[in-house]
Amino acid sequence: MVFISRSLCYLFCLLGCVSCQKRESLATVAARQKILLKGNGGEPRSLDLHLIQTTTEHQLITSMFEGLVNEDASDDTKVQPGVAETWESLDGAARWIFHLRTTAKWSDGTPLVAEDFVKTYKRQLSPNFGALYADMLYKLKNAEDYHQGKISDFAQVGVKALDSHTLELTFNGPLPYLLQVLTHFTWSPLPTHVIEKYGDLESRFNLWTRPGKMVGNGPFQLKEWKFKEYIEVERNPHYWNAAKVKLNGVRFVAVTDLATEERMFRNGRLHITEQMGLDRIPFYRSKFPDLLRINPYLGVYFFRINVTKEAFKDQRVRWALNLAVDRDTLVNQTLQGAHQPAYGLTPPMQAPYKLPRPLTFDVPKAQKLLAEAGYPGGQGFPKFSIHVNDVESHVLIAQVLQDMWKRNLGLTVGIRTESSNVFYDTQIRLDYEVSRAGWIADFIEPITFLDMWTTGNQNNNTGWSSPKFDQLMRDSYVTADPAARGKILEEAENLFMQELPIIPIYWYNKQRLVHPAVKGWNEKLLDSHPWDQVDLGEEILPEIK
Amino acid sequence: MVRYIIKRFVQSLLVIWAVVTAAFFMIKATPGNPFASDKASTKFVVEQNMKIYGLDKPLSVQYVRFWNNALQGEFGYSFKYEGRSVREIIADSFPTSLKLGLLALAFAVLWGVPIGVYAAVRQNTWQDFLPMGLAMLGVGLPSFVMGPLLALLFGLKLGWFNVAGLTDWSDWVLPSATIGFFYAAYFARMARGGMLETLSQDFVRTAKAKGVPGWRIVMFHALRGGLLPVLSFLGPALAGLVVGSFVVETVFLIPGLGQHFTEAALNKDYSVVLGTAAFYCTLLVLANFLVDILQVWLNPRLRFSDA
Repeated sequence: MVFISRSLCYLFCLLGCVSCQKRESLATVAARQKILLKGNGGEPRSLDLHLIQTTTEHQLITSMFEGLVNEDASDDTKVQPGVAETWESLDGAARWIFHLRTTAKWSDGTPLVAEDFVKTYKRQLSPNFGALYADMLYKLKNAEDYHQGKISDFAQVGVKALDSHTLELTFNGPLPYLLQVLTHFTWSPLPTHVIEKYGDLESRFNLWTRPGKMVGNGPFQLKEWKFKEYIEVERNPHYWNAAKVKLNGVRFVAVTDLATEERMFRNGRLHITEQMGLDRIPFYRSKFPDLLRINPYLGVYFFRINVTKEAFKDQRVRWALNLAVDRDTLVNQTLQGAHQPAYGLTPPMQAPYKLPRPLTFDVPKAQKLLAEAGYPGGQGFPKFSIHVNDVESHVLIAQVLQDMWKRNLGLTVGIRTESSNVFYDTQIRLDYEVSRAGWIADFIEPITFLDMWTTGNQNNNTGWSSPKFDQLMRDSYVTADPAARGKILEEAENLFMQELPIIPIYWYNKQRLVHPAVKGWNEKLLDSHPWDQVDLGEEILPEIK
Repeated sequence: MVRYIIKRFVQSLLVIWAVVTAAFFMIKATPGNPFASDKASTKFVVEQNMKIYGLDKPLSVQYVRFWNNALQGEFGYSFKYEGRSVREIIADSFPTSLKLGLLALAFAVLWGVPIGVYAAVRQNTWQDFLPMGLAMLGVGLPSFVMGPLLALLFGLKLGWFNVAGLTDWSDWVLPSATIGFFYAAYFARMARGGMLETLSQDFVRTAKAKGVPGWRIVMFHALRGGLLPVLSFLGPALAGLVVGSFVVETVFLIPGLGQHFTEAALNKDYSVVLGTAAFYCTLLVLANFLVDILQVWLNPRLRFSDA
């Protein structure tokens, strides 16, 4: 028996030694081959632009598809030509003409033409297809009516191919910030000629996105898809700017667990992590600050207040809840300074008006407001719950709020957790009192944080409605003059912050670990990094102990 | 015998029907919406999607349609991973789970059984207490602690193995050890118990009296009887092992079936929930059916009493 056990022990050690003899980290080998290993935060829902919605697919998609314009590699306020070489805005920015570059091709070598955009938008707006983000195109003239089946002639929708390389987009009103909007993947073209080859253009179960079939127009093309393991892309030789692309490929690893991702980075199996656990930030900050990147990420983390519940109808109660939250302590201590405390709605960014920052930490004022609302010292206030999805960091924040409201306002608050799909459904049904939320911008323009609060918007989910706010938003849609539009948006945001149906907590930062060999990975507000700029050098990861 | 087989077969089919039907109504009764998300789609788009996946139909229609497809081996498409059929998901991930499960089982048997037998032979000495104490630890230590511990020690500290991913044959060692450690501990305790019982029997005493050397008694006389409890546990252990483990697959980034069980239920991915439930249930029922037949075939008394 001893013999057998010992033998097994030796065998186990032997296995280890055999495998350790050839250890050269994957990251080092891959860097030599110019293949970037990147954590992807999970398995993508799809690689079809019309069937995705979240950040899990975002970077993958931008490596394989390119829109009319691209984001600038370092300056968030600028865009660079993409499929469109030049453009002009007409009728006070309500109509735009894009001149497509003649060198733009699909990765199968087929020329990319204006008609591809028309067919793509038609598919996305099809009343039967169910594209998840179809409403992003509602800015186009008659797009909403076509999508909802009110009109059936697609020629009435504001997208037209004037010739093979000229595209005309007509909108419901002036869109001076259109170029920022166009950086979003929902506006990129799809290879309809390829989709049709493998089935119906509007079938949800068309398998055109599989390796060997998939065609794109970005700097890379699909090479390998190992479900739940990784997706690897390789250079697209037909990309119009292929000569400028520095990497030979990118491997997007479908790792979801934060601790596993960090271990993979330390173990030299990833060059860039998608995220990292809060508990590891102090370690890297003190020992390996060069590997840690904490950059602003255009989004706001907040709690919705259900204003249809009696106690929360009173604006003073909502203000009291807000003023009793010590955001500095919460963010800098509990969250290890990983984010920025939010004293308003729209995160710091270039905006056509001064972004309002009315929130403070003011316990006496909060207590006074609560007393005025009829609940002195929290007496008589109904017990309520903070509704969060069952993620450790959300529960932690809920616990801190629970404690702050108990201590500062005398309120008795519970915590209710649900798994994500149940959680979002509960939120939509307004079956909560105070519920967690996060909103990441689709493009760099304050309106992406404002128009979700209009009456009936699917992302409002607070029960809050203001005819004046709705009118201001409508006015902004038809105002071309930047200064006048800025004034309207400012008034709308001030109104919203005065009525306060939410509790902003922090503005997001993106925290991740980046291998020293990675070049051209700049600080970007939307965390989208033009892939032709990213490169790998020869630097080696220091031993992380 | 034939009558018995037919009877057991019909019973097995009824069990599968009952389990899958229960799963169908339970998952539909839970709250949540498969198309609810952080960035909500418009109400119109959600309705479109419900229609595309047939969720707009009454439950009775959905149920009949489900069985109609299921009997042809079709469980539809995942709601979460567009265009991926449930059949494809199972076909992709089951071989990985099977391999991992078998490796873990091999690890468990090769470690657990010798240790258990050895502990029984050295009953009530430190050579008994130490491995049995460790075995208690093994049973008590959950895999979400064991997995990261092994990854930290053998992956990062010693650098012997990769911490996650499947790029190399050696990448199977840590995940199978994580799962196997728990089962090894279980097997060790069972082997010890079985051996102690056998070693106290008359034929062992007789062998000792006849002067048979100790190791011979253990290896050739007691071992066969002593391992019976281990053997009876092998079946259920195998069935549990080959369908994967959510925790170990997540910690070591292994594309197995285990994560689909858990994730699909959380995501309200109805078709994957039902497909994987039906698959696992069929696997278990089939294994039990075969074992039952085998037992009856081996033991004529059962044949007469049951038939």
